[in-house]
Amino acid sequence: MGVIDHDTAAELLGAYALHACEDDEATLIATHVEGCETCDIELARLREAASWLATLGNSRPPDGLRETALGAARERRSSEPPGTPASLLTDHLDRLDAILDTISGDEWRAVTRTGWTVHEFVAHLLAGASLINVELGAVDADPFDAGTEWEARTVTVLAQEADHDPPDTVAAWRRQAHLLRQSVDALTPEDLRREIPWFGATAPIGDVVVTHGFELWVHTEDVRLALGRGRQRPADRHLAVMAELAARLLSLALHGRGSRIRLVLTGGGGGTWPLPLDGDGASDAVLTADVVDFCTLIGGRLHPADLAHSAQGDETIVADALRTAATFAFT
Amino acid sequence: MSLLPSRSTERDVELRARLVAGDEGALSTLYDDYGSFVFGLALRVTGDRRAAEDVVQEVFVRVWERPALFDPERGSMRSWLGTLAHRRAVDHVRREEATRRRARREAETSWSAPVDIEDIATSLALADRVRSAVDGLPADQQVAVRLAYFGARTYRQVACELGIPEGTAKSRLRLGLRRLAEVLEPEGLEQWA
Repeated sequence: MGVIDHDTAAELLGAYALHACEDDEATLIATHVEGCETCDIELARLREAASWLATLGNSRPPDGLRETALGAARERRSSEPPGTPASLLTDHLDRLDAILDTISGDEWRAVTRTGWTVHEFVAHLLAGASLINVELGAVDADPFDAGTEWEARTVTVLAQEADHDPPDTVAAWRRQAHLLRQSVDALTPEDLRREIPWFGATAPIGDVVVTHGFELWVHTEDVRLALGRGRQRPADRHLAVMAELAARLLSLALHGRGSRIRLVLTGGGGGTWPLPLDGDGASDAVLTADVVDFCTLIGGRLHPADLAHSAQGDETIVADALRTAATFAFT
Repeated sequence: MSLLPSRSTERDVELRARLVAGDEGALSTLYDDYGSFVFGLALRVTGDRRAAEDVVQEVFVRVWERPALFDPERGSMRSWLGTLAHRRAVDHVRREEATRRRARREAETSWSAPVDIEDIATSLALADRVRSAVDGLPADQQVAVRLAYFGARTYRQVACELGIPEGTAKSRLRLGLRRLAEVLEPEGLEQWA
């Protein structure tokens, strides 16, 4: 596919906004606009103007159409249901579960990209899953009596599990994973909003669940890479959930800095977030990156300098946002 | 069913959040606010009630499937819905053209008033404002924009039908929309509900 130069694209923006281009031109313009903020803004303006034209045609649709249209929408979305914290967690628990069965002997001692062994990662996730079970009241007592302070807990659980064979650690993890699946399945929307103690502060249960699902992905990937098993892309609908959490966290962190940045994540599950989320006004900068890459950065497995991305507008704001995003490494 | 809600970024942002969160009430509200808008546009472009109904359905299915694609910073909800609807309506027209000989449809020469308006005074005032903005365009831009938007012509077809070079057609479309944008931009129109 060819490329179109800026001036040629700009001349075609009016036609493009009116869907009056040939198909091949439209594709070229769409690609250009993704990387050119000037055209992106002008296109938005021209589309806005076109939509005013549309208001002249208002016409009441037939009464039955309301239910037909809404029904079709509901049906489509339910056949590909959007991700939820529960579905994300369950899916990622399942994925780890599946790979655990395929690991044997020396592979447990394989060292992953962060320096931990595969066995140690399972112990780490065991510490996390059991902590959430404690916080959700899924167990009467903490099976490790290791406290709720994260770092200390991980150290304690890892030390305990070092004395066990990997299959025993896996069994313990599976027990906790089973309890976790059950409790998370039972959570109502109100429950998801309820705050629980977390990392010295509090967090809504929904976020705790999504964070653990995120962590499961990152660590399962660590294990897969250490064992030469290749990457496994999360489902689009779950990338969407993780990206939404990442955008919210970034929004909170960028609050009060006085600048605004648009986060554009491309690929299935991606989306666009003007940050901070609760403000408004024009953005000073735009950061565009692939959704999986960005989540990998948030997960602490990609350095900002290595993230493939495009920056528009004030580049110092983009650099600052990337540095901030990199500090979230949950893992 | 209201004609159109007033343009409000806050409302758009809130609707987006609710749609993303899976709040079905938000989708119903969206239909109540914009159903006539989407249907009317699709009807004007396709000239076919069944096709217009299909477009409405496709648009609301799409909105519910991928609400995160709506970018409040790049335009209003109305603009997003209008773009989704217009593209689908144009695609329908072009598919029809490709499969059978179509009767040449005249370019719109009159702006017929909307039907079944609840708030007549407000909607007519709104339509008047938009109508007068469009009438205020230089004639050559007006004709070109109308042909492309309501007539579903490509800019090449516009150039051909008007006997002008392609570059001129592109230019009239761009300038025409820019002029409309300038005249109709928020300040003038936010107050009209």
